[in-house]
Amino acid sequence: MQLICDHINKSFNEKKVLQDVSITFEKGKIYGLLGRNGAGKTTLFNCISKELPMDSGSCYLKDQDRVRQIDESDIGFVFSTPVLPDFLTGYEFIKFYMEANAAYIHDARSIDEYFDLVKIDETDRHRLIKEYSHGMKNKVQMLCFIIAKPLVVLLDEPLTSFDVVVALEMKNLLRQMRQEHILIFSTHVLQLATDLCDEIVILHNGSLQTLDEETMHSPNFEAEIVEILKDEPHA
Amino acid sequence: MSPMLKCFLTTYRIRLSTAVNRWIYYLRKIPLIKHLFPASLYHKTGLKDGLSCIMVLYAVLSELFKKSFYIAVLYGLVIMNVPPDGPRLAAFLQLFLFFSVIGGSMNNLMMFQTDELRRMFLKIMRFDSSLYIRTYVYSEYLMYTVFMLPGMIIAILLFDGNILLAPALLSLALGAHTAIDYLQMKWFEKRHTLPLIKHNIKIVFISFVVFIAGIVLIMQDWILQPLVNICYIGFLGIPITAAVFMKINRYPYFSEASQLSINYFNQMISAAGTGDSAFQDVVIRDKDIAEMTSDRNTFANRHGYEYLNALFFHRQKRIFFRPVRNRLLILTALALFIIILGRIIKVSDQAAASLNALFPGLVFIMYIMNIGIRATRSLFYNCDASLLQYSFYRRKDAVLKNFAIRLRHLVTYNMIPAAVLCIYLTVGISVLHIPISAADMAISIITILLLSVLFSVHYLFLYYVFQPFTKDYNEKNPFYTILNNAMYIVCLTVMNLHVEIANFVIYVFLFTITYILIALFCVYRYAPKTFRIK
Repeated sequence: MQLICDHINKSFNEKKVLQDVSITFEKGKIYGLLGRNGAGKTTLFNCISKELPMDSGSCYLKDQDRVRQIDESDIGFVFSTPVLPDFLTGYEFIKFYMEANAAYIHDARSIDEYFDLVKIDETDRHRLIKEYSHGMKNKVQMLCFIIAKPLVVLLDEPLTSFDVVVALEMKNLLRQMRQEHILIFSTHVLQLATDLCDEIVILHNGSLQTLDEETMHSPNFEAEIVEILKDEPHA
Repeated sequence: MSPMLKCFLTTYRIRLSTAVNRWIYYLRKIPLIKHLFPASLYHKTGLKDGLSCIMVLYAVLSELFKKSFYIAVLYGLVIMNVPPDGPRLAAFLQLFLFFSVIGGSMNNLMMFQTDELRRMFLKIMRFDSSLYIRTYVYSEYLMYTVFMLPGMIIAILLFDGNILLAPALLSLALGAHTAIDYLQMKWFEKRHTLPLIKHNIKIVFISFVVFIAGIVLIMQDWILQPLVNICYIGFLGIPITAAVFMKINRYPYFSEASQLSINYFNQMISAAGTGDSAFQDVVIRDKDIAEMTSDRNTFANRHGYEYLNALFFHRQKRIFFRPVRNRLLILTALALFIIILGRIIKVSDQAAASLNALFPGLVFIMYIMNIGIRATRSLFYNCDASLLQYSFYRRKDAVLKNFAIRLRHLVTYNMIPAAVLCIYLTVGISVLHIPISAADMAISIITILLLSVLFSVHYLFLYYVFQPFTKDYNEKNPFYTILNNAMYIVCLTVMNLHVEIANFVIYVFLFTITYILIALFCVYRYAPKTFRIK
């Protein structure tokens, strides 16, 4: 299964944020979308998930020879700052989520099994989300796509403001899950990209550029990335 | 060039630039014409200088208009309440005393209150506090005098008064304002606090009472006619103002007072910065948390959106249950009072006529009794602000199902005080033997209940079709505000109608049914596209 972005163009007034962006993402890999602040990473995500209409171009899924349009249920969005309703407990939210998406969930486990997967203990499951730490909220958010298993998971600046332990847990979770999904996460933290990703894609001056494996593992990797990104005006 | 003049010109140029940029920003938002204003306009300094000249003219005319309009309002109040052969001049002078001299001076925060521009000048551009405040205060008083004078002269001449009364009154107003400045400076010297800023709401309330008192006094014909002669004492305001200005020139605490004021302003901005302050009354409080989680299994047998909304409405007791309870208490107290009073006074057939006159007021009563506006704010803040970011929540079937469930809950909550009102009306009419036919009574009850449904539908319809709230909890849809205000004005206007109950009820019935049907249709047709997070 592949996610194909084909000649995407997107401008805001006179500013061309995405210029003829074309790329193929493959299932089973974690992609790092690297770019400076204001490069257009979130815009690309919003175009893929159809939150924003593209000026031109298309995104579609290809499975062997079969091509189809992206449906909302194909996309899972993970926000850097998790957004969850404060008045529900974690358990209630997952219960609601599973029931609201019942038609799209296959091979569902029990709610408690899902919480065990992300290591949220029983007491915390029944506390209001309002009282959750940032890390716990993120775990609940991750549960949403573990449960619904959307084909494409877009993670917008994930793992920021996590403590070391939670960040490691999240990374391990992403690595476990990659086989069943196309995982793309945007970041401006080079270390994170190199640590987690199978492939790195750079968004620079509205264009996408895939880094080859040789560059990724070269000793001057960081310097080369900075050189590529340096001439882009700071947003 | 004197430092004060230089400061004035510099700050005025910056204000103009800010105003011009703001105009360009908003022009670029207007549909159909926004393409005429590209972003490149911001760096066309020559053009912006030209626009600044227009802004100066606009500012001058605008200020003149505002001051003249204010005088025109006072003039209008006198005309409406004092007959042509009455002491209109004295009434005008008295009103001016209450509004501008007493009430206006109480609200004089000019010296120490920080706004965005002052903070920018003092903290970011590092202007000298003393120089800036002195420049600001003197220029504001000068403009006040210059722009008020023409309107005052015209008003006084129209009341056949001596033209000298205009500068006399303005001097008095200046003297009162600067006296408050002096008191604030002395207060800060002694206590290093800024009470007028910290207790602004209370002061606004007191001055509002003063304004009302001013109007009521002339309505009751309690006018001090000797004011026409006494007001020349107002010229004493000139030496008072001069003395205060001398104090201002030597005042050593502007820097410290400004810092305190800026800190206070920063706190206000932090609280209001993301728009959260408008939702403070619907935030889940820590003391409610324990109670919220004690009902863990109460709705375990519900599913999906029924489950979500059952939990929401149950856990928002403070938003739903308590306001309804309070309304019931008020209704009960009022009903008892009216019934007891009615029994003592022994109401007659005239009561039926009074009921005719009061019935249109029930529309407004039902409007203010409705908890819809707070409900929608709570729905957004506590539930939809987060869930709308998930695509499943925005599906058409989810949006419409959610709407239907919420409408049911909201109608139920609002129906309780409506039903109780109907009961009290029936009991009151029966106990006081007011002659109203059973048919009229039945129609009235149906109308009250329908109005309750109408306003529940109204608020939820506006919320779903116009969804005015942003991610930062700001309200940014003018149509939402316009329609809300329109409904308010309609209800207020209806209150003053004098029609037979039977006819009135028919109009209300037709309007209610039509509005509900249109609203529901709009929700069905548009809400799946409009009910999004901005």
